[in-house]
Amino acid sequence: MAVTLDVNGKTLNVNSPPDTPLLWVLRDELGLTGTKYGCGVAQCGACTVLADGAPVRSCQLPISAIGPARITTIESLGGSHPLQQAWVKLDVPQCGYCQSGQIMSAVALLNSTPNPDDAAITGAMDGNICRCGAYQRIRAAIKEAAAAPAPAQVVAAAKA
Amino acid sequence: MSAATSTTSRRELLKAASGAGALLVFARPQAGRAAARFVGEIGPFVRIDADGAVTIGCHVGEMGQGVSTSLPMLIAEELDVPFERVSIQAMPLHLARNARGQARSYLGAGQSTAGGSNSVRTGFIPLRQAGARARRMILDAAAERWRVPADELTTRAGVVRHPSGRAATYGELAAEAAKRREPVGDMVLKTPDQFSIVGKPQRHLDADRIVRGEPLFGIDAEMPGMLHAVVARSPYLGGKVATLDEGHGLGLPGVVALVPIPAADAPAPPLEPRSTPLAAGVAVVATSFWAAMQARDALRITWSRGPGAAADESSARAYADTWARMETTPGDVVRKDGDFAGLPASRARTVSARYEAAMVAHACLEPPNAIVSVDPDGRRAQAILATQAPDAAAATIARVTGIDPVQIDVTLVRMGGGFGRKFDQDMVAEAAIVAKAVRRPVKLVWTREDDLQHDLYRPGACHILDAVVAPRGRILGWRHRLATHSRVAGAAGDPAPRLTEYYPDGFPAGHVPNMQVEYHLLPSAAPRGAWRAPGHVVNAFAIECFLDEIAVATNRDPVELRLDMIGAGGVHSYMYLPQMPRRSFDTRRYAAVIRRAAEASGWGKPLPAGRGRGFAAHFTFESYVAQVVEVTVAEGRLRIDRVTAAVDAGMIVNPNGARAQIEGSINDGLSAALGQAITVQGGQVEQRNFNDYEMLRMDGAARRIDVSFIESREPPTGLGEPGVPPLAPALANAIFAATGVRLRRTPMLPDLRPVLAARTRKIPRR
Repeated sequence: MAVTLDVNGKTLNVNSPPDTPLLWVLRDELGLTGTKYGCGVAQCGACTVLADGAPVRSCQLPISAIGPARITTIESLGGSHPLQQAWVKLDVPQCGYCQSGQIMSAVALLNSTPNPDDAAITGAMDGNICRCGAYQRIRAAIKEAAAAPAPAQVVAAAKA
Repeated sequence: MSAATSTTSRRELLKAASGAGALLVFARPQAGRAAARFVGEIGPFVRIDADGAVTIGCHVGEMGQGVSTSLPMLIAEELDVPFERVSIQAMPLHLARNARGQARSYLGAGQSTAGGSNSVRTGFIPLRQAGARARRMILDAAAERWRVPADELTTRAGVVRHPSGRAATYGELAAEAAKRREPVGDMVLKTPDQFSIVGKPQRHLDADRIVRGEPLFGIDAEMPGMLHAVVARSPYLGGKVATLDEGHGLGLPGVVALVPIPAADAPAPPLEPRSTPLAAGVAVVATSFWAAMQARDALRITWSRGPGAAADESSARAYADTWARMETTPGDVVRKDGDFAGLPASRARTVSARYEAAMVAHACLEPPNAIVSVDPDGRRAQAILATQAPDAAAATIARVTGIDPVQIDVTLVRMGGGFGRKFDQDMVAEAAIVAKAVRRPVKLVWTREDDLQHDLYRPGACHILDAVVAPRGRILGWRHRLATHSRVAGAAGDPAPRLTEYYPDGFPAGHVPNMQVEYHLLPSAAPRGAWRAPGHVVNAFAIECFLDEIAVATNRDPVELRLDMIGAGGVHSYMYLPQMPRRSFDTRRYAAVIRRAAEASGWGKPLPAGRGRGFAAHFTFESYVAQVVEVTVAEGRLRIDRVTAAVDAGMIVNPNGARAQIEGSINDGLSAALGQAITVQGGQVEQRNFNDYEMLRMDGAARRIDVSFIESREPPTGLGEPGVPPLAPALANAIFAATGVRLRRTPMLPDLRPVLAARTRKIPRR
């Protein structure tokens, strides 16, 4: 029984069993490996994707529970999203493994709060572990991106 | 090259090489972005295409420490090409036999194993030589083309020039250069004042691919026809499979095979004289990770409890026995200067303290994984590995499969963190066992629970320190008795357990006249391994907290106390392990970072109530680091306001990457010092996932980090690890300064919580 998903603007039929977490469907069936496995229990945020613009932990989301929600993964951002550019400019990644999840959490934050203060950043990002401890640069990059003139179409694409 | 690309076999590489001769530089059009090649003694490293594009290979695994940028910088510097034009490629491991018949990679180019904060310091000369040799081949090609002596030619930014006005780009000369023989002997290298790349901040070259979510990591890689495996491991340390009901698991959709993993002491990696333990279990092989997970959950396995079944290491009793033994039984003497026991008690005072540290896990965010394929004829194997030690990985696959190591291709891919965990090869051994059994490529992935329950843990420790202090404050005697789990098992071929646990030439050795250090082994059923700055983190916690306690007890400033102890300072010989070359510990450089950190942090300036600064310093991997931690304890919580670090790591190759390493080390130090403990009850590790193994999050991270590097023309030294050890003691000392409460155990949170609960005053807004 195939499940139909809306991933990055495409309607896809997937063959994985309905109880399979979205994370493993993205990674192993759809080849979207930018979304990472870190804990499997929604504790680390490495698997963060957007569902209708809100951050969700894909490791704990069975594909049967998604319904018509539009799923957005890191791959949909291209590379010119202001957050991605700020991440590169401030050289945020060390090992880099958590950064897809960090960026997706930050995308959701800026979509709802375009100019977040420190408390809002901490609140939105505290579910994402960076084992390398690049937290200062993550915070600075979010502020950098928030201050950057946003190319409207990029942000719109990420919201879609 | 995406990580999903299949391995480029060694045979193909050699074929490519034989078409071009023994070359360092090659210009023929490559299919796609084929892997760089190893040829000759110095290494392959450089490719220049006809259009001038420069590709530089990196032979050391990238785990966030930045080697995939910093090592190519060294090559590019001497090659004399603009770094913006360079692209970097991870190089496959190429094993060849050395004169002694040992399979080794990249002879003479620095070690390919990422560990010991070694990559830049061992590669600093050889990789620049590799770059200089490549440049020389280009110069010789130009000299031949123009019929002029090569020493009349100069290079600048990828262009060769002759005083006559002739000029050619490297790309125009690459084809001819590629036909030349690699020069022999040492090239003349640039002097530091000629550097145009080294010392200039460079961004991490993979950053743009990371932020796009490209498949860079081991867990993202694939081989054609690959199966997926997870292992059900004995939940009991040292346990074995007693009974297995296969029907439950094998009947599920997608399940291909069950493969027993024998309890064994693993194949000893040839680079380290020690063994990696392997937990007994059953591998479930399936067509997808999720199918394998479902089948693993369905397996009915009973386990025989191993020798560790009775282990109850989290009780106070386990440590109580050790504390008593340390006081009543002489330990293994690690260092003895003067005569501590013979010091007269009169007029001098004694300061004593005990410190304790729990085991901790590595918890790399990318859990251990490995992809291994064994050819149907069993003669060759391929692996795609996120490993710190590719040579040891190949040796491990060889031991498991019986395949000649030089017939094993290892493709190195990015690690989602290493921290010492991916130095060991248990995950590779498991994948090799499974691949050998099923004769298909296998990706073996650990879950987070697997990782926390079957790590090679950082040893826990007990420390008892006593100092005899003269009336005017001089430290006359220093006795340090420690017990640790030791990261070496003490098996045949291993160094003595104490050797990896205490470095006898570290501070304050040489700066107190009567010093005695004794070592005891602390028993544990859990396997141990190297965790970022092994030994140093816990030892520095004990020593640097104790110095603070001496300062308080004798009413002195902790910074002045250290500087007085160093005095004029001097160069000490410093031993890491007996088989390694001795290094120099220059306590004048140590004093300089102490002064710099104090100055940069505003040390001594008054702070409001509830706030405090703590100081600590440490020397390791030839680098000198001092840190000042500034905290606020109020509103029922601890806030890390600021950490100031002063670092002397010699010449800094990439200031941007260096800064990132120190920033990360500070937060890593905080993470481990505050919340993390691995405990053993009933022969099982109690922690399972991040809900009971507490990782630092953004809210707990240092609010501000300032890093100051000492300007230096000394050769570069370690940077990946030396930033961690001073943090925990500086934090404990800061909490003492803020609250008057001395925390002597890591993790600190259990002892800190009642302190915080008693301090609910509002933080004044600044």
